[in-house]
Amino acid sequence: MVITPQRTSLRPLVRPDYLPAGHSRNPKTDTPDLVSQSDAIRLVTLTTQPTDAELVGRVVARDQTSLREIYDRFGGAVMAVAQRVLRNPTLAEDVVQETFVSFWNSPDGFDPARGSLKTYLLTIAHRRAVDVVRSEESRARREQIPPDPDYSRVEEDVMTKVSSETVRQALNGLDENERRAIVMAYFGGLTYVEVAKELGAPEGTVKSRIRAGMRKLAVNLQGVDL
Amino acid sequence: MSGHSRLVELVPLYALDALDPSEAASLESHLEDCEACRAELDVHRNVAAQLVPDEPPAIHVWDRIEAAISQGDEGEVIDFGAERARRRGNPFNWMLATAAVVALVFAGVLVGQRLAFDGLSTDEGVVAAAESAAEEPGALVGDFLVDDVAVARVVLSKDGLGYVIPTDALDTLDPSRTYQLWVLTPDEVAISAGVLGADPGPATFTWKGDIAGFALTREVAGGVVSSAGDVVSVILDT
Ligand SMILES: [Zn+2]
Repeated sequence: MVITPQRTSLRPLVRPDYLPAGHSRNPKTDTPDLVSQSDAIRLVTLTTQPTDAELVGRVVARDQTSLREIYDRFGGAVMAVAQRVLRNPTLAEDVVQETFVSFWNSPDGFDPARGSLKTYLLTIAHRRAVDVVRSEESRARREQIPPDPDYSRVEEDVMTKVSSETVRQALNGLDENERRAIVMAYFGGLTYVEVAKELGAPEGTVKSRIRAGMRKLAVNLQGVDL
Repeated sequence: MSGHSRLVELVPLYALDALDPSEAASLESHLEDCEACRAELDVHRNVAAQLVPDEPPAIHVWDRIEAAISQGDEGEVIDFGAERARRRGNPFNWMLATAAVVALVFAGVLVGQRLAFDGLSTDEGVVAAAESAAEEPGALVGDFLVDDVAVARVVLSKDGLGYVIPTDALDTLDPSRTYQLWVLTPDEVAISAGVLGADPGPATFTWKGDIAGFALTREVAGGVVSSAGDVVSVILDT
């Protein structure tokens, strides 16, 4: 489930001293103590949020509903990375399907000590997507990929849709060249050699820009100074 | 460990799948023996994942996934609907199990107004703060569901800062009515966390103390101290 921003229309607070006649305060909490007309209460639904690790445990036990919950949590992000690399919804959907089916078939490949479930699924998906772009066998599929995009637009898109303020700030903290090289490599599905060609910059330079940028992001997003 | 100092330089690029095949292959064989490089790779992969936006998942793609895995599990019948009902419980059980009277107590602190620090001055800022709070250890995250569709998400950080983020699926009420958020305590008392309005947007609240869940109700405009019992949805922490 992705949180969708909506416009706001907040009302003023109910004042704490708003108390209908005939009701006393709860001496323990100093709050009004009121009993509701409870027979009218209808609980429409009841739900809990298991952790990612709990869901993976249930997938190991072949519980499809837990795979569905994992899909609800991360299917959109998996699609986002596949669609950016492949720029073709049909190919991207294939990658999403392959990613979740492969996870269903061997869920114990996920090791929570190594990273989040989102990371694990995106690692599978990104690898598959670049395989489609690069491998000889998928030449026919590759022909469905539109030509090189405008990478400044890709970068803009990444910056607009980024899922938290922390990440936006971390990306803004990069040198412009570092950010561009990382976006082209990861979201463009390019090797650093291809990035260099695209930018008309020396390969070694692009390599160090990606490295330096990723290390800065590691400090700001993972708190790790490499 | 020969080659480590040269190969460790390739790890950030490998995490982005940005190496040439020959370089990738030589790093992969080094990774088998080098825990330091594996640990660094984990960090970069987590970083890359953080750059990817959480977009809404497409239901038709799930249908394909479900069809594919159901084929692979021939002979094993999973009744999706029944399994879900079992896990979530009969929607009306909680009410029956917890006896007739639910006390609704108004605490009077809380919501409605935005906290005055950076990032929370816009709806997008509140949503972004909620999303990053949801990823913090110890955070409670729950979705209010109506007919299996999330109408709002609640996030409560370990520090007691809470967020309620409605989705497009939440119906707009008549202006004479309002949505109201309640915190359910372990001793089955509902305490108002704030009045959200007839057409709520992202909002913040604060809550310190034990918590058993949240409830979302419809009330008369302005809010009430005691719910009339028109409950939209309940989240219970188990
Ligand atoms: Zn090494």
